Amino acid sequence: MANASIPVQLVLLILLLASIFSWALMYVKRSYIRQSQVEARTFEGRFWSGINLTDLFAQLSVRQEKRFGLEAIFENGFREFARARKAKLNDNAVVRSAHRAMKVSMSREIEVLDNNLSFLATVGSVSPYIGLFGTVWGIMGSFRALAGVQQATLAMVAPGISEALIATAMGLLAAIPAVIAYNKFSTEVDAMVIRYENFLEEFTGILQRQAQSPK
Amino acid sequence: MFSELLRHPRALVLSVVFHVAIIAIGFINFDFSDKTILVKQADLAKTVKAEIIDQQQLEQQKNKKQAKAEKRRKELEKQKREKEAKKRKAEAEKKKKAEAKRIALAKQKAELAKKKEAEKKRKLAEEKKRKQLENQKKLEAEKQKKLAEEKRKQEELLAREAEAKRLLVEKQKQEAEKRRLAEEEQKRRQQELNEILKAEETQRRLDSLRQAYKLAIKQKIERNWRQPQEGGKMPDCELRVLQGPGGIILDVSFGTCTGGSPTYRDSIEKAVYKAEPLPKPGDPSLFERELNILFKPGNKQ
Repeated sequence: MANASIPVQLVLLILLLASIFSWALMYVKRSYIRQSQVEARTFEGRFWSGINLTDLFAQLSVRQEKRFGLEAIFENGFREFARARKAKLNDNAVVRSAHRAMKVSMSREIEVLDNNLSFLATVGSVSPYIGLFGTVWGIMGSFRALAGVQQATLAMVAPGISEALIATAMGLLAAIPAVIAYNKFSTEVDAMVIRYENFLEEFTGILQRQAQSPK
Repeated sequence: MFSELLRHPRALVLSVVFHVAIIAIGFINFDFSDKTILVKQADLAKTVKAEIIDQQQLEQQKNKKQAKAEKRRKELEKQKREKEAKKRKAEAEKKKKAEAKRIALAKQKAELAKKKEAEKKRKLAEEKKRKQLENQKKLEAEKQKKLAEEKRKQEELLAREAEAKRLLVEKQKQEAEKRRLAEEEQKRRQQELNEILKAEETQRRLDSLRQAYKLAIKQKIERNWRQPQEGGKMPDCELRVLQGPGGIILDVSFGTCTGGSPTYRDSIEKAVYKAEPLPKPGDPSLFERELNILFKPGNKQ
């Protein structure tokens, strides 16, 4: 590989970097998605345990660490609900404003989940082409060298072609895990989105009932 | 993307380590050494050059070769003659030397015979001495052997005694271990029994709490029920109530309620909503999102 031409070496370097970054990103994403799933499960358990909503809110707001996932959606929605009620808006407006606050909070959560997944998709789709480019360039070089001699043998070009093929192998090696990870993560993120949406609708219904009950 | 990765340097480091490992494995299995490639290229260059040489050059080379061969042959003849003259001289000298050698050898032989005689005598004396020494050694060795044998026997006896002691101690130990294990087993069983009892206890407590919870809900609904004005049939009704956190009513639906008039059903639904918030369970784990209630108007009168 050391005597490959500079463009081929450059291609190999790009592919190596792409692979390193995509693996690191996979690790980060995986741990974040797991964390959100666990958080959603525990919070749903608490929410449906019959605890009073005001108590739940108080418990959450005492906690110092940053909230994310369902906790953040619930907290924003309930805070907005309490504020609107204090402002003596009518019931419909109260519920609507709480719903809107939760929607905003939810889209923020989804954005964090979705963040940078496109990089994996890009690596997955582009790196085979980059590798192929490196191979074609390397084979071109081999054949050009062949043109200078009178007695051409296969043995003269074979090492060069074999070297050039490494670029394609590297491209595939970078692309396959990235594609697998992208598909897995995007389905998991979709499942989380549905989960958040379901919670949002259920919680809105509860708030509506609460708004109608006497203050 | 980079900002997110920089926030997790561990992930980046792990990834780099992973790649280095993979590349190392790849190099071990798949030796892409540049040496073989370079050598092959050099060989190829040589063969190609050879092919290119043309006919003229070949003829010139042939002529040159012939002249060289002639020269060499002459030189060889000269060398041969010189060598023969040298040989003859050397032979004459050799003869002289051989004569001198023969005389010297005869002298040496006489001396050697003398020496051999002396040597023989010396050897005989030595042999005698050696035999005496050997006999002495043998006697001593036998003595020592006997002593060693006795010692060994004693040691064996001691060892056997020690072994017996050890076995005894071990046996005692084993028995102690057995007793300890038995005690532990007993304890464990006791603990298990206690745990089962405890679990049953809590289960019973939860069961009674659940019953109390259901009854409380039912009673609250029935308390809030007002009999509709227009009499009619009032059968028992199955209700399905969906409640949210804090006992909020989310939905009410009817199961079997044969013969109940719409006004009757309406009155029941009103009663459920009036009963909001529904009573809390004694234990948070008993909370149920979906309640199935059998409403009996007969209890009211």
